[in-house]
Amino acid sequence: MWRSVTRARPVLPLCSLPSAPPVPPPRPFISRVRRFSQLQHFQEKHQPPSEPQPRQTVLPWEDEVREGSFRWDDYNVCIVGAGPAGFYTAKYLLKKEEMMQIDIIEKLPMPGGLVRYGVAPDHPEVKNVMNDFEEVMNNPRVRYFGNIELQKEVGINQLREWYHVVVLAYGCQKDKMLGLDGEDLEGVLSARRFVFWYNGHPEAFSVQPDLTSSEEAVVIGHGNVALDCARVLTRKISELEKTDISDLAESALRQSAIRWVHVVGRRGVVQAAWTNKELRELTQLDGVLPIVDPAEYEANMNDASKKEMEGNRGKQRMMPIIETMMKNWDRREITDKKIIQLRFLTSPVRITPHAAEPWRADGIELRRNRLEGEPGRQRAVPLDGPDAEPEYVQSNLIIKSVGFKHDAVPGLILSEEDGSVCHHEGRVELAYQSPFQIIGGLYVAGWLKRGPKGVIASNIPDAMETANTILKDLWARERIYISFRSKGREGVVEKVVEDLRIPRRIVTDKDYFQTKNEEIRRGIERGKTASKFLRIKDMIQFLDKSYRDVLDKEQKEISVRSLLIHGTTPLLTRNQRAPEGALLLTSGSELDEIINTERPYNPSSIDGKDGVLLPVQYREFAIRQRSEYIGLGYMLGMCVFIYYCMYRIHVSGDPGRPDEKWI
Amino acid sequence: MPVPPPPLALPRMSRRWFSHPGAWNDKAEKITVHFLLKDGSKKTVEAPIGTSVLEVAHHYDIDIEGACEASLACSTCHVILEEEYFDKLEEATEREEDLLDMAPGLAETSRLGCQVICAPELDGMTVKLPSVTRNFYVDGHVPKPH
Repeated sequence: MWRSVTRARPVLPLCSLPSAPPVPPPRPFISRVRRFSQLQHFQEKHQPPSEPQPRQTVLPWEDEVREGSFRWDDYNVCIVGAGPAGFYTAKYLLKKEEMMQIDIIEKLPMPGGLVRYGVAPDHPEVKNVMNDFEEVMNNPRVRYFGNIELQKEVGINQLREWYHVVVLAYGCQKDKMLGLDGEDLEGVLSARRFVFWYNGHPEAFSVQPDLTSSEEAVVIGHGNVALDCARVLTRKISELEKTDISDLAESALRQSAIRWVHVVGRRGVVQAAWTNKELRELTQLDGVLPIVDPAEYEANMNDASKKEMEGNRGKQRMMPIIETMMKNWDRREITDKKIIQLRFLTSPVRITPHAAEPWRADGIELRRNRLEGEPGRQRAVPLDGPDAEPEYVQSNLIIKSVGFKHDAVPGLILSEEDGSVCHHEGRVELAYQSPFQIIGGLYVAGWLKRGPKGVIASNIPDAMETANTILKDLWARERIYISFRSKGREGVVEKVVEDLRIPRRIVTDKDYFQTKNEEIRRGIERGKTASKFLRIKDMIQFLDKSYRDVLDKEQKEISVRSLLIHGTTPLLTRNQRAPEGALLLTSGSELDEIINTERPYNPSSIDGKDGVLLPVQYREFAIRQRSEYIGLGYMLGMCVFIYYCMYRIHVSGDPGRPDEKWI
Repeated sequence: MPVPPPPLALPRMSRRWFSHPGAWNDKAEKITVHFLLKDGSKKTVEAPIGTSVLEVAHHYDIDIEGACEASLACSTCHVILEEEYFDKLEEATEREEDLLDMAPGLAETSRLGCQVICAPELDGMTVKLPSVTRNFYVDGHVPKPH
């Protein structure tokens, strides 16, 4: 909304407009902040429309091909979701096309997606990608708008009207369910909620995992996320407190009584989805003993599993790590370390409620499995016979880490195979595997495109493919693929703000950097790398406050400036270097001080800062002139009055009431 | 003396690409490195001794990602070397091997570009960029059946 004023857009002779668009009158100079607050006031003053409008959904083949209204002077792209997928797509689009103008919108105020809220706090090196993403945000061809949610603040068809291309990269918003009894009891958390909790995600502010009532916790799932959860639960608090872990999670983990974490998976070692780096990290932790039951390990290493392992370097290299853990098995009773037990061929059966408080979980029943099937397609089958006796683990904290699920915009077609959006090379399709039925101008990237799997780096080939498809379609002017009704992105956010029923603070890239710096500053105070804002409310409050400070400062400057303008002094603009022997005035009180004390002012230490500059040779002139004008005016006024009175006496001999004697 | 107002925000974190900033040294002795790009073309560059292959690629605008900025947390700078040059290098650390396990298009002579430091004995080596595949689990991983 604000950038559109300042940024020059490249205009090419390619554009063939039927008639030149009306040139808007130049807007009066109002600061960005105030323009925003004016909008807010406008929102407050004017009540929302009486009739709520129905939500728009994607309709197939609604695009009318109207070449005349299509502008080619730049390419307007909107990316929904500021996570790794969105940023990588933006990066490659910017890299290959100079006329690309990208807006990134995000549901949360802060960008980063799972880099910010998914990566475990004790893996700060993984978060280095954020530097890459910040570079994208700093690009003058990119605007970032946080705190705008698709389908709530803005509809998908609205976006398609404004942009040539809309890239959906918002990932997966839901969890897979296990379908067990008692899955909805208190104390049963999805890994998403738990990870969001320790990473300070605003949606997980109210999550309060019970870490004090039982010594055991259960994590269901054999992926890296499950290992992350287990590691955060057992890692020494002295190591975690230095990271950017959420303050609430830090204080809760400080009182944690959990000593034993079961990481439960229904199949074996070879079928587990975790990577060696995460697994090896468990063996290197201080105060944590990872163990594996040798009996369970033997049971899952059947011929088929051994065959699966053949030719798979990663799986082969995993075995020594598992063997180390098996050696730890005998020390499980005597150690004073916290224990992470990786359990194989074990499935949860039901989660049992607490006897006295039936709304919360008290334990989980596990059963034993065996593997059956060909190599690569082995399934877990419940064991029968004497070993089939279910096992009961008493635990008040059960974390399900069994994967994510799409929460698609209505109108998008999901494939039955992996639940991702149907697409062909990134173009959204109307039906599964039908590359000739495309929803124009709509593309996907990231988890929406390839399903909820893979690490941050898996986004790279994926985003490259989507970016290449988009560029191919834009360069070829593919009518079918591109939104031809694009009206351009000027004033898009103003429109969004106007349409809002509830006023909402929109967060820009500038706000992001400000918030991030504030989080780092608060973190330094508490001995952490960062102390995140845990609620959107707090974040917006901070931003509003800092903007009020800016406003106050601007007000002061304006008052000083007007004072000096009336003194007819030559003013230098902000951020200009002070000439030799110049005065730098930053506020009204300082001006008064300088005027009163007539003390020479040394500008060398403060030049380049914001403020009003006044050459020193004009200072006395300004002061004298101002007082002279006042004195002169006073005298002139007095003269006129006296002359008037004398005239009245002269005319009538009596300065009485004018209505009687006058005329 | 009036105190100037404090800055409104802390200065932005400057971009720190590598663990040793400003390592690019034009004065150092140079070796020739050939890059075999993803589209099959070949690019020959001069690389100063002491810089990593990742830095060289970034300097000459070759498409290697390097998401974790050489902190050994990702496998985005995965490159494939020739066997003779691979043998001349020091053994990869355990951590690097773990990351290579995740790299798509893994080969026998794969290394991470940020860990291959240009040295005189590597003069004339060819660095192949792995071909991009859409399916990340092309390296033999089989997703769980549901």
